[in-house]
Amino acid sequence: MEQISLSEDLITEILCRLPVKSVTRFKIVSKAWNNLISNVCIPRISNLSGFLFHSTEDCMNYFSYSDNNEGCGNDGEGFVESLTSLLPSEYFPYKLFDSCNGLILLGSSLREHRYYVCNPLTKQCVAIPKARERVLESAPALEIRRTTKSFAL
Amino acid sequence: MASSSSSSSCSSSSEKKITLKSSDGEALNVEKNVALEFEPAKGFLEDNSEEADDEAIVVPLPNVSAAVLSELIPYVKQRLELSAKPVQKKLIKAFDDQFTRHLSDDKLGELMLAANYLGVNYLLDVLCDVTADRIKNKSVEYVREFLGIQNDFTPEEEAELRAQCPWAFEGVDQD
Repeated sequence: MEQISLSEDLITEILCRLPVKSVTRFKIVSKAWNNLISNVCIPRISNLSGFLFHSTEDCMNYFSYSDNNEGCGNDGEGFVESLTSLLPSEYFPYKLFDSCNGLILLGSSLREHRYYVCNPLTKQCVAIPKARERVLESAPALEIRRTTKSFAL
Repeated sequence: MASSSSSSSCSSSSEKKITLKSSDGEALNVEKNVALEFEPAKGFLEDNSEEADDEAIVVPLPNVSAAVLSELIPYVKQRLELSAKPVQKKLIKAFDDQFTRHLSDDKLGELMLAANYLGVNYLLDVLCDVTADRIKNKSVEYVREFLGIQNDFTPEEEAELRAQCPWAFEGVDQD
């Protein structure tokens, strides 16, 4: 097909039918593809169609329109699979503490306090360095600082 | 009575023939209802609706070759017949699968351009699915070659992007 030059519209149409893993890989095909994928396809194909909400004081739920995943983050079953599958399994069960601008804050509910900030769209996760002075109390919150493109607990 | 006469004229119009002229100058005779599935032809026929004799109309399609048109016409014709009946979606899908299964990559691209130009969206939809399926698990290098895309990243930029999401490069099919 290399002799045929497809328009940007057609390329977009094709890319947006691919799974997240494939489009993430194809970002490095070219600069134009990187733009299309980051700005058009990933937001469009994300299968996370639902919302996060607080149900009790220390528990957040994720409600999905697509696959009836409903329940409390505490028991690990309420998450859509793509959320839990991001994390190292030895720290289960995770608790969903907060969400902000599309990022979510997860933490282990075991004694050892570990927190992760994840982006469910790109399936990226970063571990928060342990607080040296004191262990975070039961309700940490996530805040995005737009100006510095950073987040804080 | 008025409604019955209009419906009979409608059914007879589907048997009327229209001439389509391809980019390489070939004239192809098609049923009017098939021609109406092609947006540029539909527009042309509406603009020339005062012409009494449809047979005399020649619709120019300067962006589609005769080879591509002669693949598209039987597809559209059969697809119209299928969707006129109360058939299951499964049957239409099976028909689409059969049509696309043996298409070469080049033919797939040509048909995609033609379906896009002609506004045959149900075919375009299927062709995009097939193309996506053919590149889904492939490597970046394979996809660049498949679609003839020039890599404009420097090796450093490419390595940096790769390092951001190593999981996306695991379990890729052999080219």
